Amino acid sequence: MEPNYTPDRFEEFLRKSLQDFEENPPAEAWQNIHGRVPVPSPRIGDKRKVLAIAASVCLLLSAFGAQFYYFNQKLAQAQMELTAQKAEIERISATLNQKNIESATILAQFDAVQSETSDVNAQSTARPLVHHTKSEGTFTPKTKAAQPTASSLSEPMRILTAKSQNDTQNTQNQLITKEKPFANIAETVQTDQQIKSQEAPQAPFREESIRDEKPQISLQTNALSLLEGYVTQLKLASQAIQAPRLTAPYIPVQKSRSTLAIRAYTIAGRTEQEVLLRGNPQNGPKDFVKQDYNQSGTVLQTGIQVEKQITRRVVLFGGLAATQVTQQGQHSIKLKPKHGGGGHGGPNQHDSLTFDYTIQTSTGVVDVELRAVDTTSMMHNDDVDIMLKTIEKSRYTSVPVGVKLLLLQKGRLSLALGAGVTLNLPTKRDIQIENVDFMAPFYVKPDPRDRNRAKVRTQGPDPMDLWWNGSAHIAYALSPRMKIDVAPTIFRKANRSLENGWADHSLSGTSVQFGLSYRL
Amino acid sequence: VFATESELVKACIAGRADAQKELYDRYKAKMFAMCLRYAGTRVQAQDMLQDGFVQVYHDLHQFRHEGSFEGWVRRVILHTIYRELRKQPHVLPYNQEEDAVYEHLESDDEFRQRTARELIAMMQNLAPGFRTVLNMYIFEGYNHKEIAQILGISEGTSKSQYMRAKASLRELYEKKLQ
Repeated sequence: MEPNYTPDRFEEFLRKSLQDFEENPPAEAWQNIHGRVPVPSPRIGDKRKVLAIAASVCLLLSAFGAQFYYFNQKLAQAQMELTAQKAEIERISATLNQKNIESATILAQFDAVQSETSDVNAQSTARPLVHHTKSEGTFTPKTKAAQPTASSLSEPMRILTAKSQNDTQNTQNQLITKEKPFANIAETVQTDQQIKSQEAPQAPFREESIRDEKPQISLQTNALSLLEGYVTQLKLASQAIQAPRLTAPYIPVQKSRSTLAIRAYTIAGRTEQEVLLRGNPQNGPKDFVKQDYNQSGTVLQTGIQVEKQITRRVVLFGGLAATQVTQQGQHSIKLKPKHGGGGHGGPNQHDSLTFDYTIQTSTGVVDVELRAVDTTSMMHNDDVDIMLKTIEKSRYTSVPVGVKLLLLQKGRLSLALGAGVTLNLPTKRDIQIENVDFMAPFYVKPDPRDRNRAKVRTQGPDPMDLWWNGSAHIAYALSPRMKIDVAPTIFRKANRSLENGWADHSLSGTSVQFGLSYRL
Repeated sequence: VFATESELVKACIAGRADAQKELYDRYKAKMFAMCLRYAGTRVQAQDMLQDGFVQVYHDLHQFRHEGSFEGWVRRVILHTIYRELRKQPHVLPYNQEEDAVYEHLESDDEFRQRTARELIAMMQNLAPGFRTVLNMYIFEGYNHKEIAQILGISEGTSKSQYMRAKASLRELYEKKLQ
């Protein structure tokens, strides 16, 4: 069988023959892979996220709790006022009932006097000079010539005339009451007192129709006034409960030009950090090729701020906070042995080589010591790659300062833009090496005793950081003094070079603030 | 189930077993064929494949959704293979039992498929250094300078190993044809 290629095309033949070749692996391969696939445990970022959500929920619950307490107080106050008003109404009602009883007694006396008067009238019908007719309770003389004078009347007639004049006044008072059936309780009491004072001592002469209607009018007036009083009190109580919701100035910073508020807040977000390492280590048989590395992680900040309004729209703020930044990253370091003048240009005349390398980051120092054996054949171009996976946890005491500009307000909602800077003073840092990977030419083997050995040193004061940030605050007023806000925020750490020229850092991130403020 | 590779990758990162299986099923045949070219035996190729896919799942969060995902998976597995080759530089003895694996393939209808399997079997008989350089030069497209950098050998060594590997493979194949 002849080969299906020309001698100079064997490469092409191989490539074409095998390039698209596919072969299914044995079935048990997946079982072996599946058993080794790392199970995603809750990452640090997820835990922070859960904590941030929990903190936000606590803030919101506190806010609604405060609002509930505030309105409960108002409701309790209104109920107390209502109870007092009811007691007052009952007291007035009892007084009115007493007055009615007294009125009934007086009327009984009036009936007795009237029966006596009818006897007197019967005796006086024989006199021709005076003729009286019923006209709304008044007595009108029929003729001028026959009109009697006080001196010309007999004693019973003088009494009758005087009582008739009093009765006329009383009747007018009753008519006034009749025309205003819904007069308030006080007026009703007043009228009854007038009746008592004017009528009781002189009672006997009243017309029948008026005498029968008077108690009915008084009772109707009392019942309606009582009902009207209840309705009025209920309306007042309802208004008392609703009043803060309808009339309160919800945005405290707009009404006054010099307000002071305290704001508690929590920030949760993600960070991205780029680090450029540069420079050469001074110790060890190695050369250094600069490498970039990236880190990503989470930021969590909780603090308290004081907000001072200086104009209608401008608010200055400053505060104190605790910040924690957790970042995971991978450091790639490429080391080259120094030229040692060995055979074949090889750098080493030893059969082992120890790599001692130091990484200085913004949050500490990492020492890496790795030992390789069988390095006698290492060439100039050979190098050793070290891959470090690290977790850095940094805690800061933070001082945020800045300014907020109130853009608009509608009802309970308001929108403001904020900008500021956060000064971070490092308080604690912790660097953990998660994994160290050693890659070298196959004829250089790492010493298994020293593999993955790395030390962490955290020494020396770390310079402070400055984070610039901008935010948009959407606030909701819970009460005239209290409001909650949520604010998407972006931040960026100022680029900085360490003094010995080892690293430049650039950190940026996005986060969300949850705040609860109270105007003093 | 997963319309795009991006969704598949995200589901894998989230730890969904169905997504991980889907990813494996999509690329297992191509990757296993690649491992066969680098491995001395079929068992070794399976180990390479397993290690490679475990590394893929481990590093999946580093995929930046730029370029071909298949290419990224291939690079990760190749990186794993190269790392293993560096750790085990000694020449593995030729395993006669491996020939039996391909005997039943003689009845395969497609001549090309059979030829490929024969070539892989022959490549597995090459010395590991020859096989590695041959694969990197012909199939991965590296030049000798890059091969030298990756494997930590000189450029001249890479060239000489490649020439000897090609000559050996050609000799084996022609012997097979006869």
